[in-house]
Parts: sequence; C-alpha cells; structure tokens
Amino acid sequence: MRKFYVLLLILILGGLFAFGAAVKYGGIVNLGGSAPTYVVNNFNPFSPNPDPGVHFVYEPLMYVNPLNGNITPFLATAYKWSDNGRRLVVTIRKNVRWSDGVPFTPEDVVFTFKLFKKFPALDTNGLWSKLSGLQSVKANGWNVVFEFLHPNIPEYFYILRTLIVPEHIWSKIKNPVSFLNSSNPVGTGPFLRESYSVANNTEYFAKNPDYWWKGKPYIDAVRIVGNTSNQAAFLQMIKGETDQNDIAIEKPDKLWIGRGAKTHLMFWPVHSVNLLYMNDAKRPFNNVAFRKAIALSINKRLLEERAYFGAGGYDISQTQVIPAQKKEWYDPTLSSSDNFYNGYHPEEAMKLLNSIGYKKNSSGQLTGNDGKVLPTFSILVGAGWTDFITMAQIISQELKALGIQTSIVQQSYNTYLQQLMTGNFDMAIGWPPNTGPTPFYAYYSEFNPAFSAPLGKTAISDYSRYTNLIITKALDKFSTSSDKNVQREAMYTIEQIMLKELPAIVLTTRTGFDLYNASKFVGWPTLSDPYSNGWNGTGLGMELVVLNIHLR
Amino acid sequence: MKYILNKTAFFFITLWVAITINFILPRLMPGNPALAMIARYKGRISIQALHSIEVAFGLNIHQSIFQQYFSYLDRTLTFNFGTSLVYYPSTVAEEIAIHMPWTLGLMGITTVISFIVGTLIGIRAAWKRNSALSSSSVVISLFLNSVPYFWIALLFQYILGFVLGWFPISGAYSLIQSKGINMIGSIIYHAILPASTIFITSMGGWILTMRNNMIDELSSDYAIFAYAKGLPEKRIDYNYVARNAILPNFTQFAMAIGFIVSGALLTEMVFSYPGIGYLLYQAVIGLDYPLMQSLFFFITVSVLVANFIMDMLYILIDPRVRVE
Repeated sequence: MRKFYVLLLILILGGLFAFGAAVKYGGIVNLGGSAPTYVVNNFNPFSPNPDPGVHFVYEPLMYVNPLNGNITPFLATAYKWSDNGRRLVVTIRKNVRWSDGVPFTPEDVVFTFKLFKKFPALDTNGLWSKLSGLQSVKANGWNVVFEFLHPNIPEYFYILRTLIVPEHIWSKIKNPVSFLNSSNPVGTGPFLRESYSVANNTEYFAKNPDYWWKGKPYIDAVRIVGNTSNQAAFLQMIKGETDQNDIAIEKPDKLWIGRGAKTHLMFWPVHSVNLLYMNDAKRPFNNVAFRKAIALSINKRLLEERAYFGAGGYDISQTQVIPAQKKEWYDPTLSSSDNFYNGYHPEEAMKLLNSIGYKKNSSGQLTGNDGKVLPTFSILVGAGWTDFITMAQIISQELKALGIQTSIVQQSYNTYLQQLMTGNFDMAIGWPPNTGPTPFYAYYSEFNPAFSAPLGKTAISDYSRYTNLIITKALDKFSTSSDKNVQREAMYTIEQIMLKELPAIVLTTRTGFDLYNASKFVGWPTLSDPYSNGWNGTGLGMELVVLNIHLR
Repeated sequence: MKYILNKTAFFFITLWVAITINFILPRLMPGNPALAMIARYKGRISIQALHSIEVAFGLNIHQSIFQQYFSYLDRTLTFNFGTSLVYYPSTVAEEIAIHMPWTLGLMGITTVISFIVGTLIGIRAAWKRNSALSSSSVVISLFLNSVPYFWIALLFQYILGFVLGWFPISGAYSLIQSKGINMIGSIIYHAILPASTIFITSMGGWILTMRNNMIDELSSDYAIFAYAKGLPEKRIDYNYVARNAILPNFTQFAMAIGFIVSGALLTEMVFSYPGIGYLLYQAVIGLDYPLMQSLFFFITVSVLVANFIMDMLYILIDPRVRVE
C-alpha cells in the first residue's frame, strides 16, 4: 500500500514539474503595435480609428489566418454552409461570460450583426451591402443562421472576423456610431482595459479572471506603448522598453537579429504582393503587348534586394498568388510562363515593342507608328515611402533603357488614393486593395466590375479599370460553390488570364514587419509556425499571440 | 488714443480676414475625407456605410456656400468646433484639451527661457565686440540656427537618451503610473530632452538679432555721450541701450508666443511628445476639416492676440508712441 502512495506522489510531483517546466505563468508584455501607434479615448471597435487594444477585449467568432486560411475558433465553435452557399450556420460557444458576469448567448451575435444593418456607418466590412447579399441573421438555439440572397461563400471571412459586442449594454446606446465606449468596456476577451492615457500614449490591460479559455492567457497583463515615429519605436525595441513592434526597418538581419538571434526574432511573412498598377483604360497601357514589354524590362530581383534587402524572398508569381497559398490554389501548368514574366529580359521587351510598332528614334526615345514620341509617364507613389520610391527609381531607369521617359510623383496618402480611384495616373506602385485566405479576395477587389468606373469617376478598388468577362464569371463560380475542385478551377481560370493579359505587374512580395524580443517572452509566431499573422497593421491577429506567449 | 483705436481696428479686421481664409483654404484642398475613408477600408465599405459616415461627418449637407460660411462663422464664434473626422467620434474640443497643455507647457516655457537667455547673451556679446564671447557666440548661433532641427533632436535622443541613458527617449511621463509629486518630477524629467533641443536651436536666432540691434544702438549719439560722460558700462548697456535695442525683439517675441500653439511637429515626432503639432499634421493629412479649422483658428487668434497685447504694451515701453 505504501509503495502505491509513493508511486502516486512521484507521479503527481512529476506531473507538476513537467507542467511547471512547460509553461510559466505571469509577466506583463509591452506591445509597440504598428508604428506609429496611438492610444485613443475611443474604444468603439467599429469606429474608423479603433484603439489598438480592442482585439484584447472583444473577440471574433473565429480567427481566420489570412496567410494560410487556418481557423481558430473563438466565440463560435463551428460553421457550415448549406443550401448551395445561401445559408451559413454558425455554432456558438457555450459557457462564456461577458466581463461583467452576464452570460454570452447567440442573441449577442444576432444583435451585433443587426446593429450594422440599423447603423450602416458601423458596417465597415460591407456585410449588408448589395454585393454581399446578406438577407437575415437569426438565432436558432445555440446556432446563428445567416441567410443570403445569392450564394456568397467567400463572405465567411468577413462574417467570422466580426467582433461581438454585448446586447445588454449596446442596446441602450442611442447612437452607437459616436459611442466612445471608453469607460470599462465590457467584452468576452482575455483582457480588461484597466487604464489608458492619451497624453502618455500608453494603456494597460489586466487579465480577465473569468476568461472562457481555461488556462489562458499565461501572461498577467498587456501594456500598449504607443509611439509617433519609426525611429522612436525602434529605439524602444532596442532598449527593451517594448517586446513587439511592426516596423519596416532597413537591414533587419544586421540591426535586429544581429543583436542575438535567439532573442531577437523577425516575423516577416508574405501576405500580399507589391504591384505596378498601369492605367489600362489609357493608351498605350490598354495594349497587352505593351504591358508585357514593361513587365519584361523590370528586374524584379533587384527591386526586392534594394527595397527590402531580400527580406521578402524572391518567390513571386505574376498571378499574384502568395507562396503560402500556392500549394492549394496555384495552377502548376503556368510556371514556365510565370518564370518568363518574372524574369528580366530587356531585349525581349524591345522585340515585343517593335512588334507592335514602337521603335526607338534617333535620340533614343520610343516612338509610335504615328511617328509621335511617347509622352513622359508618371509613376505615382506615396510621399515618404522609401521602399516604393527606391523601386520607382529603379523602374524609371530600366524603362529609360527602352526609350520610355518617366517621372516619379509623390503624393500624400489621401491624394495618392484619390488619384488611384479617379484614374488620374499612368503607372502607380501599390498593393491589392484587399487580401484574404485565398487568392479570391485580391482578384475580387481588383477586377469586379462593380468596383470599377470610367476615368474621372471614382473606382472603389479596380484602379487599373481592367475587367474581363471570363474573370467575372470565374469570381462568380468561386463564390457560389463550396466544392473545392470547382473553386480551384475558377482560380486557375483567373490565373491564366493574369498571365495572358498582365493587367498589373507583380514587383515584389509584401510582408508584415513584426519584430519580437524573445528575451522575456516566448511563443511568438514564426515563419515555420505562422499560427497568427502578427500585428500586421490592425492587430486582429494579436489576440491569438497574447494567448500563446508566456515567460521564458 | 489714435494709436489704440488704430491697433484695435487692425486686430478685428485681421481676425475676420483670417477666419474667412480659414474657411476657404481647406475647401480648396483636393480630396474628400469620406473618400479617404473608403480607401482606408480597401473598398470593403458599402455605399450605405459611406453615406452614413458622410452624414455623421457632416459632409453632405446640401447648403449653399454662403449658408455654410455663415453657419461656420456662427459655430466658430461660439467655440463649437464639432467632431473630429480623423479621431472620430472624439470631439475637436476633447482632442485639443488633451494635447494643448503639453504644447503650452513645453513650447511656452522653452520659448520664454530661450528668449531671455538669448537676449542676455546678445546684449553681452554686442558690448564686448572683440571679445571671445562675442565672436564665439556669433559663430555658435549661426551654426545652431542653420543646423536642421531634426538632426539635433535625433542626435540628442540617441546619445543622451539611448547610449548614455541619462534621459528617457520618449513619452511625456513615466510609464509606471506615478502620482502627485512623483508625476510632476517625471514630467519635468521627460521634458528636459525635447525642451533642450528646441532651446538650443532657437536661441541662436535671439542672440543674433539682439546683438545686431545692440550694435546699431551703441553707435547712436546718446550712447557715445553717456560713455564719454563716464557712466559705468553696465549701466549704459542694460539701462539705456538695451532698453531701446530690445524693442524689435519684443515684437518678434510676441509672434513667437503666438506661434506656441502651433506646436513643434518634429519634436513631437522624435520624442513621441503628446503635443498639438502632430495633431495638426494628422488633421491636414487626413483632411479633417473641423480639427484643421479649429487648430488654424487657435493659431491665428493667439498670434493676433499676442501681437495686440504687445502693441498695447508698446505704449508703456516706447514713449515715442505716446507722443504721436
């Protein structure tokens, strides 16, 4: 009998040690956000400029990792499409409480979605727009049923990421659009907003003792330390005042990782691409061969080297599909054509131009069939975006070799966007207006005719004004079928058009810029384990990160 | 009397012109803040949402330009500045209330100290024209005046804040919540670095102008007469010459005081200091009409008021005005 008790004791102690060695509880992590970061008075999760910390207090139905499409359930445990993609049934998690003790129910979910319908200014994801086709949201026991007018499977990405707010508080607010929600916001999340200071640009989130995910979070608190410039933010990181920041620094391997590879981590996952937009509604960019010639005359490797020091890798595809999504969605028959246009072939470019009637005249300027010299084209970039300016300069030189004159135009972000939307540009460096867990989202935002407009009018996101009936049909096919094969075929169709017509040119990959200091806390996402996409601008992926990190 | 009436009339007319220009300028800027919103949402925003935001922002009021102007005048004079667009739904008044005290404190104190010290050095440097102080002060002030502020600020932040660790590199006060006396100490400690960078770069201007004014005055008849009569140098310097030489500087000082409320954008960016400068920058970039207009209004009014007060004080300090 005694032997039994000794064995039991050893097992218990062993278990405790093992568990203790696995995860240490405690600690306060200092997050720098995404420089520049501002703590604001306003804690309304649906406002145009939400506080960086809303994702620690409010939770989505599920977290869909935009890098690879992996799903982490939060307030919902499962979802299912039926009725040919017209009905989405989401199963809600039980045994969750709001931070003021009131139980969380499917009614809260229904209320939140209905709030967007009642106050369209909150519907920043366009859930109730005509294009999405959402008709009704109803609770059915522990399920919430979304009915659509027409099948819209990709919409799941926006429905699942919606943050849920408590009905018992928000139903009493007369104008939720201007609701500041700054004192004691009630959410289901792992942290509570304990204090904040706009003047000092910091806020403090203490652990929620009644959080539904037992055993998590491991850390005691989150502090957000704001900053107003990249330099100050980086100094804070080096000094150890912050453990995380999303800053695009130069030479990260030397300036950051070089300080200690084990403790200074860099998480720059590819989540999108940098594009050279061309105004496909204007001559000569409306000519496919001309666009292809430009693509062949740009040395894309050089752009990645000079603008990002190779940090984004060189795996680009003119179909705009990112490496993490290639396995599922990339048409392998396109690789040789893709390689060709990814490459740098200025002689081929010249041949192509000659074949459509453009020749260099005696002064080396490219001239058309009509004998007229091509005008100087503008390359539009955002003011102060050093990476884009570097790329624009290189592109300008390379086009000069073909005889095409260009000038680089820098505009403040608002004017830059304005010009893209009204078509007031020749070429511009930018990125897809929208991205998601499949290539669909980028294609949809760039080529959906509803988002296009004639020159001079405002195109919401089809800046190049390129539309193609085949693409439109394929987008439709993708969004109305839940059969993976049908979806894949639709993506392949669009990818083929991308390589055939090259409406925009992919220049380099586009990465997040998270830097982590692992000397205090470990468990950050890495390229080999990208369980979250990091801060990446909005902080949506950070809830999973703060639930995962723990003291070393 | 005529002088007072003159100046008062000038004040009100300039104020009205400034307020009107304040109304016209933002409307001349290209762009539409609601459009900027669409872009921020990457096209995902629905037309209804856009419409609602426009209404919430007060952008689609179908009033004639004159009606808009008069309602603007009315709101401005009753200090009803509305809701910020960039910091929606915070009101403009809230945002300014949070940031203004820091700017007034940092810029106000620095401007005053820099004026006093710069002027004193300028006076001294003018008298002893061939001394070490004079030559070195000229060279140093020229250097400090022309060196880019950004460079000095970053240099100070890096060396004194980061490498040596003598001062905090950013923020208005300590992260670890300090209360009462500790808070004041913390605020002062955090303000030293930004304040010294502003102080150093602006002092040069005061030194040079004061020195030039003094040299001018020193060659006037009464100064030479006083020297010949045997009055002590110090007395001539401070009691007679400086008093006259300082008049132009005072006018400039009034302007500088007025401009305090425009904040120090670069200081705030480098040191993450919560001032008005960055607020103004964000307002302009984000086409935040209400915030922009109220900030421009404050700057204009404070410069005009500071000038007006200086004009009135002139009656006391410059007897020539009284005689006219």
